[in-house]
Amino acid sequence: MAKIELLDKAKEAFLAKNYRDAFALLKRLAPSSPEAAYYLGLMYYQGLNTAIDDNLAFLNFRLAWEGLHEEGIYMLGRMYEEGRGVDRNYEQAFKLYQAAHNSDNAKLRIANFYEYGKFVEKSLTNAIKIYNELQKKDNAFAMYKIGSFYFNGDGLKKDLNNAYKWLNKALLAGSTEAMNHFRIIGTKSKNDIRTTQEVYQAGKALVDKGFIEEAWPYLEASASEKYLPAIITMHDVYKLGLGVEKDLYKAFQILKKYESYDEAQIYYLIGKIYEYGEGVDSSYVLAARYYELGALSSHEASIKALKEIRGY
Amino acid sequence: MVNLMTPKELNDIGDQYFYGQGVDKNIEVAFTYYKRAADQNNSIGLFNVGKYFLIKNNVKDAFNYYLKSAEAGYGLAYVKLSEMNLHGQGVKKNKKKAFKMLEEAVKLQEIESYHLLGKYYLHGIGVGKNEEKAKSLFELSAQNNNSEGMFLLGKLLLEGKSIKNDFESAFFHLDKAAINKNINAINYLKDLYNEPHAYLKKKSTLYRQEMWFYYDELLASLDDVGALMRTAYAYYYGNEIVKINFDKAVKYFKILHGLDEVDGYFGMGVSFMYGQGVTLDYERARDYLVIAANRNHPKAKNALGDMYRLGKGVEVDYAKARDFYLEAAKSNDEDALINLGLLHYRKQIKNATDVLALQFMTKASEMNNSGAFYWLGIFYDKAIGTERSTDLAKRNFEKAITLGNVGAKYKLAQLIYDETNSDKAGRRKVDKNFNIIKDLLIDYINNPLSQDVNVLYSLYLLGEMYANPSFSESSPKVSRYYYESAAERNFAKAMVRMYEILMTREPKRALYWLKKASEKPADGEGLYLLAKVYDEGLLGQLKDYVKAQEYYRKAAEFNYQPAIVKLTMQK
Repeated sequence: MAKIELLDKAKEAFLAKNYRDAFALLKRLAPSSPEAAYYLGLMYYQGLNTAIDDNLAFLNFRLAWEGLHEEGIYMLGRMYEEGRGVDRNYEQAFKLYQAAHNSDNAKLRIANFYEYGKFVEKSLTNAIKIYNELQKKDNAFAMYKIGSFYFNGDGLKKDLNNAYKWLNKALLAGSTEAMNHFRIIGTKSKNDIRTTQEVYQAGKALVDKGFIEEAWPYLEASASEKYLPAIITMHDVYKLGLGVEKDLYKAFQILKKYESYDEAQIYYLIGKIYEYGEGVDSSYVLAARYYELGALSSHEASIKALKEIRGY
Repeated sequence: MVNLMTPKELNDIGDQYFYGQGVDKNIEVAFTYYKRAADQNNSIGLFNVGKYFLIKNNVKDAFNYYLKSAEAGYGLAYVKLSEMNLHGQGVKKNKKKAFKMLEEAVKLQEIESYHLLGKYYLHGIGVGKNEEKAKSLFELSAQNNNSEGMFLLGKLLLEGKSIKNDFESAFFHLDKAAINKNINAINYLKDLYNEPHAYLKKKSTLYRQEMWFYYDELLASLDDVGALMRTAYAYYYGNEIVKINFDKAVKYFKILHGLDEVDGYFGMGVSFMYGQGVTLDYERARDYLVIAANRNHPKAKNALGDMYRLGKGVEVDYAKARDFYLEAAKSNDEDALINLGLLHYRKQIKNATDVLALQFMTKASEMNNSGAFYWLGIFYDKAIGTERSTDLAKRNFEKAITLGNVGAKYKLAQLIYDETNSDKAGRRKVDKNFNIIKDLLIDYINNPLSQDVNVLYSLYLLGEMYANPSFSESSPKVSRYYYESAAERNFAKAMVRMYEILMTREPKRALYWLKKASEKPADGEGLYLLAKVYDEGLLGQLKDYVKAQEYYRKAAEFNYQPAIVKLTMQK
């Protein structure tokens, strides 16, 4: 078979999620085909039919970059941005995103860099300019971003009418982020058929891969639906420093934010934080008060902790 | 002109005179109007004339007019005729006829007749007993919103022998009757909750008491004096099931006052005296209390004594207070006896003696007053009017506790604690005593009636006990919890303990407590320790000789030996 036909077959298998066949074909083709190298890189990057392997992902994306494959260049940028298979380097990442100038994905990253001031100086104006350009190409994420700028009054004047116009547009265009947004504010959209648990699992998977920023809306959405594991995961992210800098006070604040859910486990964890003074001044009085709240719903651990600290 | 009046108008005017509505009551005038309506063969007019004769005890004529009214188709007349047949008024006693008459009333759909006919069936009056028929008649009555029908239906569902009992709907109907102010239902329900019906035995005593009170309050709303008194006092003093509610107490005291009941005067008096449920007004308080006292209400006399003892709207005058208390004490008023005992104990009156203090208190304790036992405990502990006896002190505190006194828990715990510490008691004894103390103090601090200062000492004492290794439950963690609880409530000594506990792990926080303790010191310890911190530059605090000297001196002012030694050595 000709090489071109083989590549088409491999791509077909990849898109059909027939990763086993795709993997075998791509491995053969990658050394000589930048496009094949790009797809193979994706398989290592996401762990499809193979374990996640940052080094091999990096090598293959570099092959694709050498062959001037636009999406390959973009992905190489991602590797630098995330520090996978290579030391994190925002400058390299930014330059690669610029080089992949026809890739919408790369443009989204550039917008993100402007939004958060990574490598470049923070400029919401520049970010919005890019999102606006992408929005015209029906990019759902860009629509979502514009909607949330209106919603929060960042970069754009706060305007809830415009915010909902754009968020709904994003929703129709299939933006999961918009879906999450609606769930966080407690108005789940009709076309959002994900269960709370599914939303959480999507967030948890992102946390496990170290994408904390991306994971957050999923976790917040499931947390807003009183899904305890989501709250615990958010707490753990800061308590253990998973993909972020460890910050015990932030971990504490997350629990405090959801205190009103009247969940014994949350009371118990806040109690522990006060008992051991993690990120706050230790206070047995406050610890006992929270254990008491936990004990009210017969939470075993709370009852035990309360007895240990109060003597009854 | 008057000939043009309709029977309805005639009856209405008759009613006005008959019942004295808007005009002076005059049944003779009423009769002239009724009679004119009756002469037009108006059934209600005929009935009303019957009513007139009945009140005049002319049963013969009454019967005849009722009969005419009934023949003219008035249901209520049949009800009356049935009653007269039953009791033999104006006619020979005849139960069968009584029954027949009521049947006629029921046929005419007279609402007042359904439950009565039901009763005839229930008791077999002029007809064979038939609970089934009684039940359906009671149901019919209840459906027509007749509260007596609701009551009878509920009672039958509960007590019926040949029908199926249905407790749930029985209580539903009884409660509905009670809410419709049916006194029979209210009293019946109170009995059911008091001597619990089998259906209620599973419910808690507390629940039954609550329900009893609920119905008693309904009874009070019907101006039943006994119920009014019980309800007013329950809201005024509070009890296990009723939370104190002065607004409600005043509401019922007012009604009692309106009924010229002495408790109404007393209640309004104390409410005005303390501004409970009304605006504080000593003058009105006095007026009400004097009236109640003149009518020999001991509590009112005691309250007047309180006015003078506490200086409520008057100059404090213990002698006058004593006179009122003595008056009240004649009827063995417990509060007055205690107040007299305290006036003697506190030497607030001339010729006060400890012996009399003890005597009055002992007398009050004979009425099983918990406060009296509390004070007896204090008297025996402090040797007031008697030799000191910790055993008798303890026994009196214990008695006070069983009678519900809260303060005695703290006093007893303190007594046992001091005893345990001075005794050099063995390990086992210490442990046993500490467990008793722990239970007493924890009860005490959790009681809303405890006193703030004593709670602080209790917390501190618990902290000390848990730090004592002789205690089998000793635990540094629990000890810190109690010290911290006391420190958080501004107890300086406990803040010093917090300083010691936190100094290695959280020096900043430790220093915070020490500095706070030195703001309002109770003794020299905290001041001395703070001086040392400045003197030696401890816990990251910069050395500050001037401050060190200042705090050594302050500590020495409290006669704190180490500080005095330090200052002397420097010289």
